This record gives sequence, structure tokens and C-alpha cells, in this order.
Amino acid sequence: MNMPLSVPNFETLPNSEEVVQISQWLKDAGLSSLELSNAHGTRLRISVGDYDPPATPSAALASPAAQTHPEKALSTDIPVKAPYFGNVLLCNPVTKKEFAPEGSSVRAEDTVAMLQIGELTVPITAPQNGTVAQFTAKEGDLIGYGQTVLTLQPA
Amino acid sequence: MSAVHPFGRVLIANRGEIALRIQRACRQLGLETVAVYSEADSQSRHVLEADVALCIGPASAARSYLDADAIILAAKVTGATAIHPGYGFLSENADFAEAVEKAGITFIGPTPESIRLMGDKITAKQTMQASGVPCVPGSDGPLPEKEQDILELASAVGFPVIVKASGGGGGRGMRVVWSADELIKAVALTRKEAQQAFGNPTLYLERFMQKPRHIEIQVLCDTHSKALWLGARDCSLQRRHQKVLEEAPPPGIPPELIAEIGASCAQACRNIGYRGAGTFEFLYEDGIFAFIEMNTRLQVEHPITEETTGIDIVCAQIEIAQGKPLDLEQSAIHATGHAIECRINAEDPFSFAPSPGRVSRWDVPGGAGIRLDTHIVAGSVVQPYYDSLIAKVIARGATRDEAICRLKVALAELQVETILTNIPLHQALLSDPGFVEGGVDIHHLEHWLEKREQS
Repeated sequence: MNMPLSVPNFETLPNSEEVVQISQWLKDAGLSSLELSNAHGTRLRISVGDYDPPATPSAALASPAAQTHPEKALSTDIPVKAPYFGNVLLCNPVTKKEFAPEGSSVRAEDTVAMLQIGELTVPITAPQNGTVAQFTAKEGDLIGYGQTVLTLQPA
Repeated sequence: MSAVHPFGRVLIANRGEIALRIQRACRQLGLETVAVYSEADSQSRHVLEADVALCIGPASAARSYLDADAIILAAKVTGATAIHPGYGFLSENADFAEAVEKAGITFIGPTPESIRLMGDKITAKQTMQASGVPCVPGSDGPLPEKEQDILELASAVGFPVIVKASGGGGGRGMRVVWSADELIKAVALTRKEAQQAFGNPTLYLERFMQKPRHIEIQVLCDTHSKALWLGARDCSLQRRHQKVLEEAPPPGIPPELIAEIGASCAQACRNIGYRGAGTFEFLYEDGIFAFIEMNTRLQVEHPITEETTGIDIVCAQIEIAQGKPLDLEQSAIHATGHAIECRINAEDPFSFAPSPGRVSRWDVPGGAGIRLDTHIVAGSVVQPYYDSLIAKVIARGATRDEAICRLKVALAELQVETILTNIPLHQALLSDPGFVEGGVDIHHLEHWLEKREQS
């Protein structure tokens, strides 16, 4: 997850994404509300309600996927997610060779699959070193942004 | 212009209630739907019910619903051959409409040229004036030099007038003049200020509308030279330029006057070759209509026109995009009865702070004359990233009183927990004497809220 680097500039009101981020920080810190005001008399109050309450706070907050699939949070395998949407290519379209067969070792930034979007192709890369554990998408599948293509067992 | 564009699969480039509304229209026309959505909306009703659903990006609208390239690519990979933009997001983006058409996909909306023309407020006004659509009466150019000419001009326009600096803006360089005897002094003073502040002494003059109402005309145009107007809506109840409650027809305005304005809007559409649905927005005061702008898209409040005319505007939009001629005649279009829409927002009814979160209870109203346009079901999560509109409660009645009465019952039936909504605000408004009498101006709600704060 994104760690708090700094509190957003309060010259202008934070946008909705920043508000979400701030409320996440509040939750992480176990706080229920925050109030800011500035010299112009602008006041901002953010209260954390029961919005999407995580079942097991520490694990569930670690990744959004863990909230919807709590069982996956227990596994040590790392999901490799699509950076865009498109049709899955598990084989290099030129050499026809599989990018990363099950059980093969890959290094961070290695291309493990590709997405075909019309005439465009976008690589899907490994987030870290590891062994390809399991494919969760098949050749040609149309998958959406953020969908898991395969899982890696960390090296 | 009259080519037929058969398409079988429509991509809906929007979210929330309007995405579901468009999905319903597609279904009724036998068309398949593609829902493109952000990660935040994966459990949204229109996504779950779409023939094809594709997540195109993270919650950020800039990387999902506003990402024109992604949406066009999504249409290609899902085999959609038409795109409906809904309202907001990319709906009035001429470059998007152009890119869609260049990609060989049908844009369910006006031509990019029309969107561009109406997007520029000055060319829009000039175009409307040339077509005979009434604009704010005024000098139509710089003020004359001679005092007598200025006086004659101002009395022809009618007092009060507002004298404005051509180079001004942002509320500076303007002065309201209430009578002829103040005029010359005010012009001299404003001219001096304009010279000092903007380095340009050029002034112009318009009638000052003190307590205008917001009245708008719905139009529908096919690609076979038919342009129709579907009656008027009164959207005067606004807070910070956001409409809160709308009704059709506007109370207290003679139908003949509306018909005259409606006909001029339809004629303007023919003149510019307008295609699809659109809305002409006007300020109205003392029998005078003044064009403000044209919205080249479907409006949030389109259901009240559908309820009073019986015309499905979204289905019509799609059929127009398919190249079909409108099977309607102006003489057969009548506003029957009265319809009122309340926009239900997930927000604190007093502070107006957004109130996102899980909807644990969602008991909906029903019965004769009640329509609910919403994407919310019990258990839905209202996302914090987007507009807070969660539902539109629309009541129709034979009379305005009947519509108000039905609406009150419907709002009492709509039970929402545990997020906050503006339902209590609507309930209070429906009992406000000014609203009940009808015909309040665009400042009414703001004044009403100020009074509420003081009490």
C-alpha cells in the first residue's frame, strides 16, 4: 500500500482520492477523525465510518485484493497483475515460446506474459524474483486491469 | 448524413445510475452491452448485469472513465461498435467524439463539430442569435459614444441594465443601473474603471436579470433533417450551480411562450445540423427568455421529460445513432400532467459533506406515478471517488399537486441506512411555501439554506 509521505497541501481542498488516502492513514493509526483548518477559514473534517471495515485489520489493509479474497492473504504466493486490459498472450507471438512456464524461475522486471490490445501489446512483468506457481488466466482470455494473470512463489 | 449504422453491441462509457439507464435502453432495443469500469465499481449493478464487463483502470476517474484512449481500445477488444458517453465524464468532449468516429465506432451523440461549436460560449451565443434563439437583450456590441444613443439603447433593452467592460470578468468591471437618470454617470464611472483595470475602455450593456428562473428545452434531432422539441423543464432549485430538484413543465409560464422558444430551438438545430439529444438552457424573467448555453448530451433530469411526453429519450438517442428516422411528429408531442425529480445524493443534508460507505438498508418506493432511477441495491458501497448522486426519485401526476403529493409519500418510503442522504432536504423543500406556490428563482434555494442556518 502507499505509505504516508506527507500530508497533502491544504491550500486547496484535497480531492476525493486524497481524502480516501487520508482516511486510510487514519484507520492505520487507529484514529476516528481528523480536522484541519487554515488561515482562510477553510475547514476540513474527515470522519472514518464503517466504510469497508476490514475483518483482520493488519492483513486486510495490506492489499486491496486481500479484502475480497481473505484466503489469499494467507498464501505467500504473490499475484502478478495486469497493468492494463487486453487479451492474454502466454507465448511470445514471434518465437511461439512460453514466456514463463509453470515452475520456471523469473527475475524482477522479466516479462512473464503479454496483453494484446488490438494492435498494441503490453508486457506483464514480474514484480520480484520468484518461481511461477500457477496461471490464473488462459491464453487469449480477455482480462481487465488489475486482474491476476499468474502467481509467483517468492525466491 | 442518412447512412444506416447497424450496431449490435454498445459500450457504455459511464457509471452509476446513468450506466444502468443506458443498459436498460440497449436491452429494450435488443442490443448487447459492454460495461467498462474502474476497480472501485467492480460490484456495481450495471457491471454485474452487462453482457461483457471489462475493468479498464483504477478508481481514479482520470485513469478510467476519463481515459479516452482506454475506452476506445476497450471497444475494440470487446467488439463494441458504438459508444454511449452518458452525461459528465467524456460526454461533451469533442476530441473524444472525433477519436471514436475515427476509430470506426459510432458515437451516440452529436457530431464533434456541434460539441465544439457549443463548447465555446461566445460562438454558441452568436450561433443561437443568428438562428433567432433569444439571448439576453443588450447592446450586441460596444456602447455608442453619444449620451443620447446610450439612453435610447438602454430604454429599449429595459431597466435594470448591467454595464460591463469588454475586457472585464470575474465579477469586476460591471455595474448595475436601475434607472435612466443614473445611467450616464454609471457609464462614465465604469468606463474609467475599465480603462484603469483592463486598459480597455470598451463597454457593453445587457438587461440585468435579478431573479431569473432556469428553464431548459429538450431537443431531439435525427439525421433526416427532423428536429423536435420535447417541452421545457424548470431547474431553478440549485445549490452552487448544482441542480437539486427539477420539474416539467415549468409552473406558471404560458405554454404558447414555451412553444415559441421550443420552435426557435428546433430551428437552430436544423441550422447547425444538430444530431441526437440536446438541451438549450435559458434564464427566464418577466416573460423574457435569455439563452445561456446548450448541453450537447443527455441530461441527468431527462426522466421528467420522458414522464410528461412518453418519449424514451435514451432509446431515441440510440436509434438516431443507428441512422433511423424519428417516428414522431412535433404536433403529436404534448406535455401531459406534471413530473418532478429529486436528486438523491449521498451527503449530509445540513453540511453537504459527502457520505460514502456501505448502504445497509435500501427500501425503495413504488406505486402509481413513481419512478426510481438508481444503481444502488442493499449492500452497495457508495464510492468516495465520484459524484454523490445515488438515485433519482421521479413522481408523475395529473397535476403538480398530485406529483408533489406522490413524491412526499415516495421520499418517506425510501429508507436508506447507514449512509446519510439529502432526503430530509427534499422533504423540507417540498413543503416550502415558495416551492409549493411554484416559479421560484435560481437564488431561492441558497436563500432558503441561509435562513435555515440562522434558525
